Amino acid sequence: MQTLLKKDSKKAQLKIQQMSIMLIFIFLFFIFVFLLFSMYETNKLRQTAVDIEKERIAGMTIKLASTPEFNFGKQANSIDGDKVMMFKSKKGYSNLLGVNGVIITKIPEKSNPVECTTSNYPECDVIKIFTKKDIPTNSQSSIFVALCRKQTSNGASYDRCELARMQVEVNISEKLK
Amino acid sequence: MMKNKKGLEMSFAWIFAVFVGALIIFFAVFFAGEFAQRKMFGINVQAAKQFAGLLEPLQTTVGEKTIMPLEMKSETRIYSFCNLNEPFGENRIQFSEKNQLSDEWTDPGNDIGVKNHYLFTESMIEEKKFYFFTIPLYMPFKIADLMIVYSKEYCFVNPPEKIKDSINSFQNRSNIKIIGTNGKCEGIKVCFGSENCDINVRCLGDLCSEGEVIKGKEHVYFVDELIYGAIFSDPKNYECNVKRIINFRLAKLAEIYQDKAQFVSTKGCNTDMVNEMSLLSNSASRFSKGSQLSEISRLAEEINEKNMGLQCRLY
Repeated sequence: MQTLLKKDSKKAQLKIQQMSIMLIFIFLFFIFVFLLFSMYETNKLRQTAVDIEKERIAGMTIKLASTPEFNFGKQANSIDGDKVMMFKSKKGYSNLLGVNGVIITKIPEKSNPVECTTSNYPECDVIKIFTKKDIPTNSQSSIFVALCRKQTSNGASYDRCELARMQVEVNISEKLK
Repeated sequence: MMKNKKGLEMSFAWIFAVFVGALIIFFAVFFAGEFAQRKMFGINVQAAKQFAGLLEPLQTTVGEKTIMPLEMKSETRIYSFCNLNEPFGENRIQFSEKNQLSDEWTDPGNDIGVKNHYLFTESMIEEKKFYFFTIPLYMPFKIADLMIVYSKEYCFVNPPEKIKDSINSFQNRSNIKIIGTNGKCEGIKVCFGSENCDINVRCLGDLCSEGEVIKGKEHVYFVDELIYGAIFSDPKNYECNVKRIINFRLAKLAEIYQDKAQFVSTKGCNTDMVNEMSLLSNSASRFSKGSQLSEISRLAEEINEKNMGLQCRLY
């Protein structure tokens, strides 16, 4: 009788052990599935955030030339070179516009472009705003604009516009932090 | 002899399995609930971010007004706050969608900052369809685009011609009706000149280019296009956005124009506007309450007259 009970108890113990191991595996399996799923969801969310930010940048680049700090005399896609030269050194605007830098390059682009300063403007090729880089390295979008300024000739003033390319640099990963 | 007590005999394995099974179901339901909540939170953040992105193309290009109705998938609440954090202040927006299964509002998602726009709206609006319109503000040059967001129907009772023309230019896409004194209105009534409406506008002059907007016990001052901001937004939000526009944006822009005036004078374009721009910048940075708006507006008008008369204009 005692040996029979011992045998039964051993069998029960084995069953409990089997069940525990099974449960642990099921638990680990669910954790694994949950981790995979969260990773997938996080990546998807990150990608969505990147896409939304890219859309915002594209929309903003088109309208940047119309912001009061850039716009030339209520004309669409026209940038006031004189005004930009004055505001490029002002603090806080990078934060306001949500960009890391804006580069305006006169067309045709030169192989060794001269950066614009208040002393050489307008005899220069590139206006760099909030940035020192030659080419934006991070996510960028660009549009063609008219770079305009007031010019005087024989005492009369007129608007002189040149074709230029405006590149906007935004560090998306920085924005998503 | 054993008596049959008709008891339910359960082995340990069964008790254990039932207990663990219940535990698994409990955790599954708990995590599913948590997950659904997080998912809704993510959707709300995403909606707020998309909304902020949508504001970019809504900016005006050459002074035109733009209007855009926006229909959401389900009923949505938009929360809007304004702060005066340096350097330019910001609007912060939060979204909350109605859960269509439980018919309850979900927790609002994270707030998203909007720094380069001025959102004039009530602190919380809820509906499925929202209306935006954008109007540029000139003082005397363009300072900003006013972005008006609302959801309810508005009825303007006997508005001045200028406002009537603006609303008519939206071609029935704005959910704003123009009615006479006894006109029927199911939305928010906005009276011009008369009182006893939800919102009362007291205009100074026929053009209504300055005056005050009274909402219950609160009243705010406006000049020019700021009238729309005063009508459609709550007073706290309005005052904060006006400070952002005048204190920060106008003051800095006038500084830029002051520098430009100096710069172009060395290149043969003498505008003689340095002092005026300096005065405008100082007045704007000293701005602290709505009643000072008319003073700044008058100064802007004087500057504009001078600029229009110049052979080489500053702006």
